[in-house]
Amino acid sequence: MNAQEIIDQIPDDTLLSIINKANELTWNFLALKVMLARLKLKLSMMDNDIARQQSCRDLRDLFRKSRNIPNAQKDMQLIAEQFGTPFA
Amino acid sequence: MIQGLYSVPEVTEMIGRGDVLLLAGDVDLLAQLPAGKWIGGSTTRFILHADELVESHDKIFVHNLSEIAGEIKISVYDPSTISNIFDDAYDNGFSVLIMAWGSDTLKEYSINVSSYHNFACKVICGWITKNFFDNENPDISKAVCGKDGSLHSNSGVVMHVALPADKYAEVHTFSPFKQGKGDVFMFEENGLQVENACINGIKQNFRQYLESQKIDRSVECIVAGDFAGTIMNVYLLRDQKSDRGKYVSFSAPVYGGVEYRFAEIDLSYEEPTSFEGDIVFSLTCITNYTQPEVFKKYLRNMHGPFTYGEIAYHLMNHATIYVTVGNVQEPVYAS
Repeated sequence: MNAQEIIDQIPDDTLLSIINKANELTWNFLALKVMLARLKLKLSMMDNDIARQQSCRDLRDLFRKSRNIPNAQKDMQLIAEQFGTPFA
Repeated sequence: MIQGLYSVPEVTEMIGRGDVLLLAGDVDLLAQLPAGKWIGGSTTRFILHADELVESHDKIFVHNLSEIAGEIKISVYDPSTISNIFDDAYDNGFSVLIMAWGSDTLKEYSINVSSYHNFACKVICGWITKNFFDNENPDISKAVCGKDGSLHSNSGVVMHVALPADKYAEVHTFSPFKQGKGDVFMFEENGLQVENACINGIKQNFRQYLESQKIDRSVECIVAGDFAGTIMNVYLLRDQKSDRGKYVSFSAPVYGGVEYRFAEIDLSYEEPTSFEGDIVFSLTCITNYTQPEVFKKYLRNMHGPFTYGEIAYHLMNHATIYVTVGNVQEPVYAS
């Protein structure tokens, strides 16, 4: 599997857990930090199916677009360790 | 990578040979330059190699990107178009945004950026121009579009820079401040001015809260927000005329839902000293110029303008921003 296929396989539930626990982990990639802060706020204000699906799409997009950046890769490994995603 | 102070004739020569330049200097100097592949902003304070802090009215600070830049686009955005900035940026590259203090484009961007399409999916950094503590002459604070030499006090000027496929860009921010141990406050929405905040979970008028805590706003007063582990600072405005009664005004937006505390200096903080890639652009807050005895030691690897607001996706204060360009690495995940 290449990186994109792996990212595509992360379940939405895992992405939502990452958002909910955004402040509990030590992230490396600034773009991910500001994205998580934004999505956490968004879901705190309108927690419905559409908002959840859009948030998962936004987070997945960021992972795809940053998959070759070392700090983003470190964070994806962190996610694998914490959430047991297909990275592991 | 060419970085440093250069005379107008030297910068003119770089422009003439087609170099890609990010410039900062006295607006009268920038206005003398020919059209070319550059953008600029007005400021006269700079940090040079070996943490030398200087004021210059006869030289321009240059970040020369010619060695790393592929294609570039230079654009001017007004408040109605700035929301396109992430969409317009190259997929692989970075964009530098310069806006004038007090401009409508700055207000629009700073409050609403996190709702822009593709937010954080492209690298956006930048800075705010302002004459050095001169609130009486806002007109000399300009962003300059080198494509045609136009000066902008109400629009933002952007250089979108594409990188070769084997390179990537990343923006970083750091500050020696951390959140203090005092009350936690959360605001209801994004804004440069707030009425209420939840203080330790209880909604109160924020101005009354500051008065009850005897917060002295005549001195520098910073609140620090926690963005999933990155601390972003904003100042309480000292000039309380803009507070409009029951409101409190800030120099950069506070964000609804983010946990803020009053900031304090982290005495154990150490500046970044190892970098994945080369630093191609950097800038730092003007407060580091005015209090060198405190902050100079954190800036030994940074070279660029002192600024009145720093952008790493969000607008913030009392930060140092830098962009690195490194070699892409194929991920090594097991399948």
